[in-house]
Formats: sequence, C-alpha cells, structure tokens
Amino acid sequence: MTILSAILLLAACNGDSKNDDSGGSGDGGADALVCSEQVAIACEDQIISDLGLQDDEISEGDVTTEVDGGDFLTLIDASAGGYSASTTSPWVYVRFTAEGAEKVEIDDEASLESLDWDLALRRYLVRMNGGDSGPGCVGAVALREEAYADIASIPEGLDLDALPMDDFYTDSCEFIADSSGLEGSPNLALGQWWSYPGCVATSDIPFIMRTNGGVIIKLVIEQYYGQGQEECNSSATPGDDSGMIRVRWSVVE
Amino acid sequence: MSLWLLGGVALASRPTDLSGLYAFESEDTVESLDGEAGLVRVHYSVEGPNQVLQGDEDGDGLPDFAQDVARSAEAVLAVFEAAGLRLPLNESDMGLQALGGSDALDFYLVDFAGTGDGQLGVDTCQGGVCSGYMVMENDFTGYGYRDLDAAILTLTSHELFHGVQYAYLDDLPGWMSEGTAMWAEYLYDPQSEDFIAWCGRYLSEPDRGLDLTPAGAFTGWEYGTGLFFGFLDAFLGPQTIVDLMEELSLVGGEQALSALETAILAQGSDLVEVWTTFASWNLATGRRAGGFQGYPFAEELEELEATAEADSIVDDERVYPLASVYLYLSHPGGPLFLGSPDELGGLAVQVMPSSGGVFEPVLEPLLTVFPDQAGVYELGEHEAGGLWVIFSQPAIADSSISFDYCLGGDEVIESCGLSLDEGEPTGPDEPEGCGCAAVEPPGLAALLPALFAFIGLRRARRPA
Repeated sequence: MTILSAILLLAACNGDSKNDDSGGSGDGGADALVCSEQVAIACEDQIISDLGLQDDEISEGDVTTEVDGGDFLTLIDASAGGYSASTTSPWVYVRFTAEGAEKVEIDDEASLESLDWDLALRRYLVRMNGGDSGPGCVGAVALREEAYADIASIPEGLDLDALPMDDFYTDSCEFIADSSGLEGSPNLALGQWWSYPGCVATSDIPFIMRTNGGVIIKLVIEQYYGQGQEECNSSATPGDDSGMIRVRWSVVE
Repeated sequence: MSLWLLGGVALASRPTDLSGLYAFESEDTVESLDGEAGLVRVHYSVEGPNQVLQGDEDGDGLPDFAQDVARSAEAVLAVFEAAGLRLPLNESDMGLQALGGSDALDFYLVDFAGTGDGQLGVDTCQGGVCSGYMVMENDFTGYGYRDLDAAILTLTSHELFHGVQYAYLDDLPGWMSEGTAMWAEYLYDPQSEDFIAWCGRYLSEPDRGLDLTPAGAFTGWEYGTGLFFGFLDAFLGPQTIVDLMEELSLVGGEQALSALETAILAQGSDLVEVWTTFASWNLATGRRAGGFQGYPFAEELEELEATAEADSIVDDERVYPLASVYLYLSHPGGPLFLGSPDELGGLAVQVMPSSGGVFEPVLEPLLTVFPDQAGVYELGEHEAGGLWVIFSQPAIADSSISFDYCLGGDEVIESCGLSLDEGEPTGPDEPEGCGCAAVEPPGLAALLPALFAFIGLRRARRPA
C-alpha cells in the first residue's frame, strides 16, 4: 500500500469494518464511474495472504478482445506461471467498457485501492472488484435458467444495486470456502462458471454483471483450457494450456 | 517428489471391501505377507487390475516389491519408536476386530492411476485419536521417483507419520500435519530427496506466515513447511517435535502454534531465537551456504530471492507473524540506518553480511535489532559491500506489521526527512525526493519526507 493511496482511501471511505455498500447509482450503460468512492477492504491482511496477492509485480498475462458477431470475445492469459507457481504469481486485471475489455496494468496490492479494474483472474479464480475482493462495487448474478444467447436485455425486476459481490470472509475475517470441494477455494460470486469433475469444466451459466463504470454486461466463460475444453466437459479429462480463459460478453440495456 | 500425496484421510471401508476410491476389484487375487518383526502386514494383488510388481529376484515366491514395503515400513516404525514417538494405532487398539486378519498395521497396495500415491485410511476415532491403515501405489509406473526404493522410502516414512499423528490427536492443521510428515521423511533418511525438494517450496515464499496456507486446490505450502521442522530438528534436536506431539495431544490442533511455542520453550529456547535463527539459516542455502554453520543440508537447498536489491531502499512492507522478508543492499560503507514513520513493535531486524555478491556465501548475523516506535534505528557500521537485511515477526500474532521505511546510509535517511539526532525532532522538511533507489512508484518517495518529519533516532528494545 503506498502512502498516497492510503491517504486517498482514508478520504473516501467511512472506515466501517466489513462493508458491502456499493455506493453506486446503477443506471445501466453509463460510462461514468458508478463507484465514485472506494470502500475499504475489511480483511486486507487475510486476502493478501490467503489469495497470495503480490506486491510490486504486475502480471505478464495478455488480455485481447475481438468482436464475434454481436459479442466481444476476450481472451485472458490467467495461467499465472502454471499450476505450481500460481500462488506466488500476480493476478491479471481487466476492465470492461462499452468499447471492449482491456488489461489494467496494476499489481495485486495496489488493486486493493483501485476502481480501475472490474475482474481479476488467476487460474480458475475470478474475483470482482467489490465486497471482499476490492474497493469497488462490481456485482453479478448468475442466470442459471437462461442461455447466454437468449439474454437480450436486463432481466425485468433485477435490482442492479443489489447484485451479489464477492463474499468469502465472515465479519471476523474467517475464510469462507466455496462448495467445489477444492480445499481453500474462496466463495466468489462468479464461482458458478466452473465445476471440478477432475478438471476445470465450464458450466455455461451466464451472468449479468455491473462494472465499476456502470456498464451492464452479460457474460459467460466459455473456456479454461486453450485446448481440450470439450473433452474436459464431457469426459473429465484435463485439457492443455490451462488458465487461458475466454469470456464471451456484450453490453445489455 | 511425492506431488500427489494426499493430505486428507479416508474414513471408509478397507480396500479389500472392494469399495472406496482406492480399492481392490473383484477381479483381483489378493494375498498378504507379514513383515519380519510382525509389525506390518502387506496386502497385494498377484493378478488383476491392481496387480503388484511381480519381480522375485530372491526366488522365495513372494513379490519383492511387497516385501520391500514391509521391510521399509518396519524400519520406519523402529526409527519412530527410537525417537520416542508413539506408533500408529491399529484396529485392535480401538476395540475393533482384526480387519486385516491380524493385529499388525495393514498396508494395501492398489493402483492410484496417477491421482495420488499414498493415503492413510482411518478406521475409527475415539477420544481424539484414530486407528487406521495404509494404502499405497501398487507399482509406481509413471511416477517421478528416482527408483522404487526412493518411492517406498518416501511413502512409508511420510504416510506412516500421519498414523503417528493420529495416535496423538485427530485435528492437526494441514500445514503442521504435512510439515511434520515431511520432517519424518528427513528423520528416517537425512538424505531424503523428497524432503529437500519440498523445502524449496517454503524458500520460494518465506514472507508467507508459517501457518497461513494459501487458497487453492494444491499449493504445496503445507509440504514446504517441513523445512521448519527440519530446522527444529537440526537446531534444537528431534525431541522438540516429540514434545510438540505430546503437547498437541493435550491442547488439540486448534492450539497448534501455542503447542509449538511450548515445545520450543521446553528445549530452553524461545520463539524469537528460533525464528530469527531459522530466518538466517534460510538465507545460507545453495550458493550462499558455507559462511557459517547452518543446515547440514544447506548446499542442497534452493536459494530464496530478495524482495528488493539496491544501494538503499524506500518502500513499504508487510511482515506477517512467523514470516520473514529479505532485502539485499550494496552498501557503500559507513553506518546503516532503518527509519520508519510507523510503529514497528514486534519486528526483528537482522543484518547479515555477504562475502561477495548476492549469490555469495553469507556470514553469521552481525546484529539483531528489535525496533518498537516510529523513528530511526542504527543497524551498525559496515564496510562497503553486500549486506542482507531480514525483517521478521518472530511471534504468534493476529496481524501483520505493516510499515513504510527508508533503509540505507545517513544521506538516504536525511533525504527522506528523517533525523539522526536522538530525541531532537527535525523540522518539517520540504519534499525534495529521496535520491535513493526506490522500489516503489515515485509517489511514495516524494511523499516520505513530509510524513517522516519529527522523527528522531531511537534505540531498539529487545522484546520482553
């Protein structure tokens, strides 16, 4: 944590402990930051240690986006040095805008005081900038009964100010694991994108997500393995080039 | 390396019941043999999907592999017993019938198909202890061990120690469970390649708290902590781990760290001495070994990386309990200072000279300082050359020590707005930049002078 950012943080947040106030207004499609103030992370000591956040080191993973019909396809190299090196490698940070997604060049500890990013990825873990993961207000909801292609607009009745954020610490900063059965896997709001039958299989569950910039997008994570995702999904055989995550997404109104 | 050692335990039926994740199948023809001392019975398939290696060089009609497992297991148990450790409980100790046909500890050799290579199975737990049996890979085909002997030696010593642990308590934290099991490999075979290899995992991340296992499916951290228990063995003696296990049986796994401290105190040492010595030994490894007496296996270990290398350093740091941060300075000569605007209570600062460059042998620590309040602390006067500075928090604590600091000679300290005159605070300096090799973004160096104002030279206090 740099002194400069500490000062800014003190000026912006109310100092509450575990605070999930998004602070946003939530009008879909706006490009202005919907999160104008940071909310201090309550369990900073724990998240740095538990998730292996790195200081003074920025991920070398590339983020590229291309247009595919009416969607964007964003390929994120979240391989993090491979399976055995991942806990000592930095996360890769991504910002979504109406024009596409781009990498944010920021180190892990600095990300805890930044609204510049929306998603952070390392291997199969995908954090959002909000709740226990970051000082922003990024939230998302899984639409388990919907197919990505069938989502044409923001679902009626969806409260964009109440989208779930990452929540993997108790009020006393005890770690909350997800239900994957993998030891130490945090309870992330986007965690339903994968399952583990013996490899990282994609669920094809789409999400509606609001970014820090107030952009509302639908997204689905289509790929974890650069090669062999279908074999993993169908026969639990691990593919190759793990951590090469492909996100299909588009802005919804 | 035993990359697939399974940390969990199975509370399930035995492999001969033909159920469970690792079990014989109905097509298997299962036979058994007993170890010479009668401590171990090995169950193996002579025909079927889990067929054991069939080599029989001595022509006694029994597979050599199964005999080697029995021989190795009994040798390991003898070493454990000689060290004063309890031996694994078997089913009759818990009032159960002889599930393997005898009171001996049962080994089952089945095909793990690359998903693991050994596991302790639990029959039952009562009163905080458990009895069980061993399941082990049947042929090690496709595994990365140097040879079969290395595989058997590693598996028997490591997995049997999980059985030892269950003779003391049933809720040992994962890091201490695996860490002490790695130590058991070293206890049985001080040349254990598996132990040495996993020590590298610890040295890759010495700034992680010893008991703070990172999130993730398999991080290897628990195994890497074996280095610490190997250190305790080398520094205080193996009785320390025996005492630790006894203490754990009294206080339970939730008090693992306090049990560790009790065991250290019983050897006439304390956590501060142990941790700072551990931190210094961890620097003297690989090419940096030989400057003083550290690990007997120091040259075989990997080398840790410095967090920062510079003539002087302006940065921030977060030092977790039972963790250490390593900095390398190319010191121009003269006095060395550490200044900080933050409270530093609980921090230990060690200075170790290098005999040359960053990969040359290090010499014993010249001094260890325990700062407390914000201020400037003198870290001795040194000739020009390489200096290692180690920040540690040698204590059981709830949080890290997070602080900004300036480290270097007097010019660096003064340019950071710090006063070298004890008790005489400086005036509010104009920001003028530090002039040193900052490893943080420029914003930090520019802000430090104003924030460090009114801080004078302080003396370090050793913790009570």
